[in-house]
Amino acid sequence: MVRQELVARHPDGLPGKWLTPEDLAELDFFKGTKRAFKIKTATNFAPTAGKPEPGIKAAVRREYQKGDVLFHAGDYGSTAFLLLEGTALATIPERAQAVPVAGRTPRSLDFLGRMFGRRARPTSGGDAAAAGRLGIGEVSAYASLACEAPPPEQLLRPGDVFGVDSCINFYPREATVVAAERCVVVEMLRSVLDTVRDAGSASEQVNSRYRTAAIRWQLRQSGLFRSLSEEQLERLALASELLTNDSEAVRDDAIYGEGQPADAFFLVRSGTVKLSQVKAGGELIFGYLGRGSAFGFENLLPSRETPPLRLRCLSHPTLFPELDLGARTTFGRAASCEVIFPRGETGIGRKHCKIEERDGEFYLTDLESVNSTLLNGERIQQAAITAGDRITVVDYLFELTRAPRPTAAAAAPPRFASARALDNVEIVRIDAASLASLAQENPRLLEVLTEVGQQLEAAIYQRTSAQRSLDSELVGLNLYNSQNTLLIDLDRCTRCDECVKACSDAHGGVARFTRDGPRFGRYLVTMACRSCTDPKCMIGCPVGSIRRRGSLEIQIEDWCIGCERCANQCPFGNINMVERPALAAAAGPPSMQATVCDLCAGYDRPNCVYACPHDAAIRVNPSAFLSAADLG
Amino acid sequence: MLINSDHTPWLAATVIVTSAATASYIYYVEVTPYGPSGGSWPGIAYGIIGTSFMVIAGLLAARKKVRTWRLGSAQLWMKMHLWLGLLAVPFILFHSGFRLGGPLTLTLMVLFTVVTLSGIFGLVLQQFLPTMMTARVPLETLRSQIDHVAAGLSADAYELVASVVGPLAEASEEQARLAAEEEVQKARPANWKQIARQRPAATQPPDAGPLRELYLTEVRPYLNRRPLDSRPGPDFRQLMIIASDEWRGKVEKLVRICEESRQLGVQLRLHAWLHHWLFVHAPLSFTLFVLTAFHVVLALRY
Repeated sequence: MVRQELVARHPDGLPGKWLTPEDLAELDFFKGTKRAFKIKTATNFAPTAGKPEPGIKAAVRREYQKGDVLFHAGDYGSTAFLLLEGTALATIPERAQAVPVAGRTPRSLDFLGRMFGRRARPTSGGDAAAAGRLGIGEVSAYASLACEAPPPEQLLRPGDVFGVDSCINFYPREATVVAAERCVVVEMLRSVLDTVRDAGSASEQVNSRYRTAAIRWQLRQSGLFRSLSEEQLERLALASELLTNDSEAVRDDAIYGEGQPADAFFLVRSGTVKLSQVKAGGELIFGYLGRGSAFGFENLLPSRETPPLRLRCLSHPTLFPELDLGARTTFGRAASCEVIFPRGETGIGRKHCKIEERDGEFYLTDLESVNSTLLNGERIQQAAITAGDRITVVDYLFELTRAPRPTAAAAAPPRFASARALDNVEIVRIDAASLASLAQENPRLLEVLTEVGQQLEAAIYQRTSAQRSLDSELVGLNLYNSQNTLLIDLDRCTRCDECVKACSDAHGGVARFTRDGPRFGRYLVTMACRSCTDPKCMIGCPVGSIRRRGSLEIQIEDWCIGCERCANQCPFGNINMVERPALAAAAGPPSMQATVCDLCAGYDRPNCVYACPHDAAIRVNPSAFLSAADLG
Repeated sequence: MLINSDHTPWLAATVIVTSAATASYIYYVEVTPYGPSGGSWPGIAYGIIGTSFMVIAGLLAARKKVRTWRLGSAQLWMKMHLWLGLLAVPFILFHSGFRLGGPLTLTLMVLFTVVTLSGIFGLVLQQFLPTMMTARVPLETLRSQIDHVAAGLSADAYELVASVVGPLAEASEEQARLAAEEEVQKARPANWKQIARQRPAATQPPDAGPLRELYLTEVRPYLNRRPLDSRPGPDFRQLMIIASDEWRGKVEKLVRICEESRQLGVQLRLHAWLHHWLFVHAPLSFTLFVLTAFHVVLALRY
């Protein structure tokens, strides 16, 4: 039975029994040894302003029958679950399905729009514009759950806590959880989970299991380690640790600094990391890496210096050992040569030819020999040579190769750039020595890591100045963090405010955004919710009323107590406090409630875009949509 | 609305329909022994089609009243408004047989012409004024907030000057605004939008007299000018030369405040150009519809 049918059984939403603090106190999991636990628990269940009784729904007891789906992989959720009775199965699919938002179906009259409403929008990189217009409710590409080698399904037993990742990090659910038999769970908002993690008796258990599961999941989700066996993956997991902004190894959000020894390798589990160098004129940002990215490859890649050329004799390998070319290498029968031919080879001159290094390049020069020197079968007097070339001296054939790259056992090279967390991050740190040990057992692993490292190097460190300007602008405006931003093309906008009026009409007379904000080239980045991948607004809500519920949009439930914490925490000022009419039974001043753009949940598309007559208002993923050309 | 390649299908359809209608009119004229007439069957057909186009185009105003209703996007309706409105022109001309007729039809034709031309005028303005505003008013704000922002700029300027020269009795409005702001902030201490204001100086430095004088004689009147226009702000060059290191930075901020005030004036002017043509187009369109209805009833009845 899927969630929609569960909703249909009870008109007020999913069935369950709202739990009071007293109900929770009877469960072992929620018992706390600290006074702070009781205070925080009480806060979670404080009565809503103006209401005569507690109305906060911070924890609910639910019952599922066999086959019921608790949640799908790819759902947005803001709750964690504690299994009280029965069992459930958690399965991680190879790829999560897109989750449609209720009501998001095209209407019949839109065929005219599809016929005549073709957009002329400058594209960057071909289909970037199309890719940038994120479909509402689709799984964000930023939070892709592709997993080529999903782990076996996991059996959840009473006492297990699951769904913690989505509850803490606000990313889509990682797994689909289905009731294996009749089971009873307590579904809790983050405020309750945070209380347990901070002050409850089960805090260490929850945190430890979360860290362990997070590391194992990230290693599997990253395609870099798919060549490892289960046993090797387990060893790698044991050699890894989960870093957050609060970890000792991360000070002032710095993961590592430029020049520090590259003794570890990193996977980004959540949040964003910035790679940069400090230059005389300021900071040079190479780029930013999000969820699923890997960085810190310096210890795996060759040093930036080109390895020396190595001479190998193909025709007489036992006569001539491999030789790394130096500044000068002379071939001949004379004892002073570096490559000495047998005295009986009268066809070879005493000094037949030489290889010299000049300005980083190697040159082969024939020393006026009688029988010439051949380079790749052709007679030469002097020519530049490189790896892969073949030199023939009479009957002796030599090949040039590159010396092998230094092994990880060598001293760790210095970091080329510094890595800093731009927001709340979770990073899996893998010890370089452990990784090197595994690479010796599994050569394919080193090949993959080296290949990816070189791709990263090409993608990040060799970006053009235009691309870096774009990155700097995206980071400066915090657009890297945005999944769905309302932009207004100021070259089309006539400032008619139809977008704002439509928003107001759709939300009981209170507009949820402001047609003002910073500019990105000709685009106005409006003060509307950006659906951040790292929504700071949701952190610390004392009653868990701000959340994502099944889809991308952020909702503020009616039990908001108006504390303004979310409004103060939003870095962009996109949450506004509005007065709620005082309830008839209440005395005192009207209470405030936070309001935020909810992407017009319940409509087939946001009304701001729908109501713009000039095609100026668009909702995009800014990282995919905007280009350096837009900066002008 | 910006006319770009998005409109190609509409343009093509308009050209095709106009061409077909023109061809049919030419044929109609050729075969009609007494010339074209609005009361003939072809003439009535042209009239019905042209009026239908006008009605659909005019329904944009109604569509904008029900913004959240799913009746097709606003862009679609705007494109229909533009192109069907244009398409109505040949059909109405064909319906009239290129004659003005009596007083009512003459009035209708005049209204129709003014409405069409004003619409085209507005469309032309929309091709370049938004870009002009974006370029010339980087400090643009919401039109409805301009007065509020301008008053805030006056208060900001007073705060800067008073922090150097001390309180100024002449700037009572600014003082009242700052006091009111402080009261609001006290009522909501948790709100992140708190602004930390500088206090007025206890005494005026001996070299700050020119600052006080320039503020009272030029800066304050400029910032408080109403209506806001786009004339240049006061000349600060002399003051910058004599300003001491202590308060030169504040003079630079005053320059930026005056520049923002100037830009608000520019914004008001450009905004007026972008929208005031509607004061002609909209009411005349309504009048046109009313008289058209009158004309239809009269023509069909009599």
